[in-house]
Amino acid sequence: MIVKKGRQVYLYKTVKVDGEPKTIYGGKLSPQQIQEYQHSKKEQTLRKQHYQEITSLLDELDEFRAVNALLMRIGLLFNGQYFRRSEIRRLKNE
Amino acid sequence: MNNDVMSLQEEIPVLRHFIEEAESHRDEKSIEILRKYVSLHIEDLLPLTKTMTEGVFEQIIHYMGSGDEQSKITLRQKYQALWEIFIHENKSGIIGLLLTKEIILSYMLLEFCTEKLVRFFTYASSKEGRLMESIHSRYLKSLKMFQKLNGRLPSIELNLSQINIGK
Repeated sequence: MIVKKGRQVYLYKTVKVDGEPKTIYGGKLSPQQIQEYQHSKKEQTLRKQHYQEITSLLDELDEFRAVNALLMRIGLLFNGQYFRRSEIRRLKNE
Repeated sequence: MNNDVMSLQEEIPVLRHFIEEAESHRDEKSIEILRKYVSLHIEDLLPLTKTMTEGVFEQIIHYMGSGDEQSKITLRQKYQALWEIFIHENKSGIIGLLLTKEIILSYMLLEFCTEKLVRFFTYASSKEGRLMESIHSRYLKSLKMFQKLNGRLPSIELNLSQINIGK
């Protein structure tokens, strides 16, 4: 994290030492370092946002696939077929 | 999720039970029971998948289009063209149509993830890698099933740039 005090900006890092969070002073930041820090924070937020978008879409897709799979099994049964170990088999051969 | 979808999802375990019974006994009686149950509920079930499909389809288009309306229109046209290719190849009725929906949606999600992976996940962790693998395997699974049912399928390497949108 960065902390602003007056005109100066300081960097602090939180690390875990023996399971306990500890804040370490990382020094004074130059204007370029501040810009880089803000850019990386923005990228991190976007990355997190996109990851959440993808996982939520995947959940919705799975929900749809579950209903779809049932309808397909019905369709196959009505056509004298069924799913077994990822194969389509004929009912009458069994 | 709207109330209709929620109430229908409560019926799904019942439907699953009848399907499992029919698949396990494989006799006329259990198939007839399933047929009766489905005839009473199919009108609710098919719109359910339609609502779900449209929801996921529009959501992916929305994310891929990044808020630009013109891009969204172009994307819709591209995926509809891809959709039509599969419908043209489909010879297995409603099962093929349902699979087509799965293929297109998985393909779209795969494209969306690839785009984001290149742009934002340059240092992709194993967590993100696993997510991509999982989407890819869902896509291939539905594609292979389509092939089993129809005996052939549009090329697995099918690329959207190969589709002529017709300007």
